[in-house]
Amino acid sequence: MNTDTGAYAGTADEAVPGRLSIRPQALQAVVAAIAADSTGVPVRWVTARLADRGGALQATVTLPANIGTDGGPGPTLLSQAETLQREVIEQTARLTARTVRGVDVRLAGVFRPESRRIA
Amino acid sequence: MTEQQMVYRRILRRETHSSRAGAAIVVAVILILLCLAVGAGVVWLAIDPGLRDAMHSWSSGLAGDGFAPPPLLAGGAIVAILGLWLVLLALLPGRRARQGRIAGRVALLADDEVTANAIADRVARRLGVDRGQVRVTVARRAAAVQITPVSGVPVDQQAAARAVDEVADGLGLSLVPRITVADHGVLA
Repeated sequence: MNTDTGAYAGTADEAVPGRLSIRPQALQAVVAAIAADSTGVPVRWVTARLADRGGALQATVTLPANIGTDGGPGPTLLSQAETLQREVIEQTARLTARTVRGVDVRLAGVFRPESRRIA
Repeated sequence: MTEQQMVYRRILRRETHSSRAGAAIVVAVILILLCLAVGAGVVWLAIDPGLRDAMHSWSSGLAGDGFAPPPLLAGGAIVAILGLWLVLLALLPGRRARQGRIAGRVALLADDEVTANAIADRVARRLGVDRGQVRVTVARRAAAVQITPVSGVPVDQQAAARAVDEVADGLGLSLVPRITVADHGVLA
């Protein structure tokens, strides 16, 4: 950030050709996609809400818990949620250059990857 | 050259301060009417000796009880308010929301709103926020900039202050930037 503004300082505004703005819906879709990638839950099962908290973003991600296949013991829900929070913060910063200060995770239901095949 | 500069200074002074001509005309008209009334009264006194007695009895009737009649009180209040207004007009500088400067062969007059718009444009572009998220108020010596940040994007206040300085320098005005950033941003 500082290097950027330092670069602007010498030259005029021509150094900045335009402005990037992201609609809230798009931001929320990005966050939902990140959460889906992180947990392996299909993105259509994931909803993400964004709000402003003290100038930073506060994300609320609602998705089913991925309890994995019947076989091996997967990661606990708590560690899944922690990974999800970290991923959302890191990937949102990387993709959109926006700081997410907090991620609330709401587990609503259960997702089993192979459940479709069984049914 | 110096004569031109003097003319420019007068023009700028006239454009940046509000005119007192209207008040001066009102005062002059009132004074003329008063002089006419006094003159007419003197002539009337000379012609009609009974007038002196009539006026005397009228004024002693007024002094009888403590309070003057309401019409006189109202008239006095109006005159007092008018007098206060004139005193304020005389003492206050009467600056308009414009600033001027002389640069070489040109005199420049900039409306404060125009200056504020230019500053807001520059600040918004520099910070990469929407133009509507920057509000600027320009006073005589300061420019107050209120920025609503984009949620999750920190505001570089120094960059904003530098943008204000650039615009002010470009116009040849010296404005102290006062940057305030809103506590809550907008999703954008």
